[in-house]
Amino acid sequence: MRKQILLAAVLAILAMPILSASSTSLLPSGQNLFDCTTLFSNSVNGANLVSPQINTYSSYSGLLSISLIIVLMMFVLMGLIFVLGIAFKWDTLKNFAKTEYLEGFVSILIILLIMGGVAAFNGTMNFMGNLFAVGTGTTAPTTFQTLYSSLCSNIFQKMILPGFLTYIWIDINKLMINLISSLTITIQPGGFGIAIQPFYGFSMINQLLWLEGPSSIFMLVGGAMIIVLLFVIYYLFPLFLFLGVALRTFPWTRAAGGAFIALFIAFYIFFPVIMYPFTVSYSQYNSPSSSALGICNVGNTQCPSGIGVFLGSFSAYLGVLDLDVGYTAYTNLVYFSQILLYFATNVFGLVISLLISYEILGIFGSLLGSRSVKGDSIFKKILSPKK
Amino acid sequence: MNLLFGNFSGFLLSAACSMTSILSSPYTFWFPIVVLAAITVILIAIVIGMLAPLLGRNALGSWARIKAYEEIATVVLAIIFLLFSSMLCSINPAPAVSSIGILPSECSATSSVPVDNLWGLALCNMHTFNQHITDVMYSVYWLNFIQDLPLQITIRGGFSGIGLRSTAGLSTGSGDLYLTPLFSLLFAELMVSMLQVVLLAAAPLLFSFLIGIGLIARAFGITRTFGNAMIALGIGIGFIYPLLVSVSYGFINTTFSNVLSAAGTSGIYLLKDLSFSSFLAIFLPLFSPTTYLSATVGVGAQLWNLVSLIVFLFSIVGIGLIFIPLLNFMILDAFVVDFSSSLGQRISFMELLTNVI
Repeated sequence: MRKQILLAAVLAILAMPILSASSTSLLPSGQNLFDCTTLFSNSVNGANLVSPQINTYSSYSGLLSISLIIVLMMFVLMGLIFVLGIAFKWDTLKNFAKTEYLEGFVSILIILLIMGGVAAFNGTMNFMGNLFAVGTGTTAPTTFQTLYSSLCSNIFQKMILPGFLTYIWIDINKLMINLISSLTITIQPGGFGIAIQPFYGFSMINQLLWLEGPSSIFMLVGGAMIIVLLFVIYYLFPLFLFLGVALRTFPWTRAAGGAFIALFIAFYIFFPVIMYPFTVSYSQYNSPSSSALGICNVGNTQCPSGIGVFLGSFSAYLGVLDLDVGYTAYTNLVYFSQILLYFATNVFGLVISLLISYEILGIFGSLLGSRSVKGDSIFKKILSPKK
Repeated sequence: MNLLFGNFSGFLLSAACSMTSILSSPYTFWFPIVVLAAITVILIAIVIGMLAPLLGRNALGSWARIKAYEEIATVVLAIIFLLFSSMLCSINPAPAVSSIGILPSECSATSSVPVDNLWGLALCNMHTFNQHITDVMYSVYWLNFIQDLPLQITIRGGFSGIGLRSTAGLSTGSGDLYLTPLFSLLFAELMVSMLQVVLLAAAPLLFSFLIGIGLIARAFGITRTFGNAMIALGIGIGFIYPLLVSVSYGFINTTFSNVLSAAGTSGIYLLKDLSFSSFLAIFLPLFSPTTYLSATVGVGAQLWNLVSLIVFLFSIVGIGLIFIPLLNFMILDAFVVDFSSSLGQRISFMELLTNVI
């Protein structure tokens, strides 16, 4: 016994320099990267996850100007071709120039419709958003920026945060259950007697928790990927609009330009609008585990300091000593099923919005003259391999 | 990994890409051949046109005139593509891309991969993204290591054979459940990403080869539609695909770097090149109560900041591995189909690829 105590003391002395080292580099008080307001902010001092040029949209405004200049240059070129057609009495050239003039006006009309139509669409979106937001206590988004920000916020609150909190709760839960279920009482005077584990039956709860673990991780990572997908669409897809307008200027690349513009309309405009109603819940998720365990909800300035985590976790499980394990398991399952319901709704919404967006891509692609996005495209090839 | 990524610049752009050596440069070798073929066909057409009235076949004369005009159009097209190729070789898109804010710092002037033209920029972006994948793989490896540490809490007490003990493991055991499959998935996706690097490395040669084949084939009436299809495919693979990679992966790479900068570190969270002693120095304090007692912010919030960083980086890499290639190939296919259709012969890049696979 003395040797064991001496060994423990030596190990503690050796470990003390490492344990006492102030190493807060792994646990910074940095920033929550899923702060949706700054993630989809257009202000210069907003999100610092994208370069300032993209953040201010000045570069995209410049691209719009370049696209319009290209269209105007085509007007000048077509004018020259028309004059040549008159000079050489070549009707083919004159008809070609007339056709291209009309197409140039269509390109400018597309720009005006999309840019100006967003303002009118905001009003429609406000109306639709109010329809779905009734009873939820949330404010309907009024612009595309607030739409994306609201989507991000809903997914964060309904998928990411519950997934994170549930996973931590599961880990602490398993630790406590293992500690309690492995409690062994030995009555062996003189090396002979009995040993019993009165709470071994609690280990059954861990079997239930093994089901929740993968689900919570999937929620956490899946929600994060959806938000990052929205992030990429929000900042990258406007570039496709202006590329499409520029490509539409030339007759040989007109169809390809139509495909680019259809891509922008389908995924930048319609995809988040269709997905939004599925992410709006009709009751707020409340986790007793987060407050009981002393783990903060992100953004809560009343976070307890470190020791609160340990005290919180112990106090939550003191109830186990009343052998009220059945109720604990029951409440655990009830709250987890609530989380799963929101998760399934969001995933369902994602699938539906992707499918509808793809169909809209085909519709607008056909309208804008693109043969490739009409129907027999890569998604169908992947989803329906050749028989 | 350095052996895999180190000398790509030599592999890719060993051939000179310049306007001054038209005949010797592989990117413009086709121009003299196209002009020669076109002149040959024009001469034949002129001879036929001259002989047609003598033979009393005026229709033949009209046919010869049309053919001559088509060959002149082919020569004009060849000149346009020659200028286009020279422009692609000589213009450095890095300043323009930097003005939009999607030029990664790894592809600046001091990059190990020369960014002299669009192909260099695309390859540099893909190379940088692959480096980010390996960084994430390193962090998955270390996280798996931590998850499976066989640490235990043991409570023991008693005397003279009467007492109690309790033991619980701190390891979550989730390494085998999530992290090992994730590591395998990342490795498989890295292979797919490397295929894109190979395609980008071959892009300039494919561009010149397919454009050359297309223009030469276009000079002869029988193979004109085939030539149009090859031209569309060459422009798609040689120009549009590198452009899409430069834009999309440039955005992904700059976001990745900005995220690390926002977190206030340049790599420690990715645990790359971490020695075992450094690993102990960083992670052992996590098991010390003093770390939490001294914290001024709630542990949950601190832990969430770390988790949000790791999850965000994983998600960026995941989007770059799944969504971005799908988007790029979809756009490339759309462009090739529409452009080739407008030139007269429809060809689909994805149909070719799936048939080959």
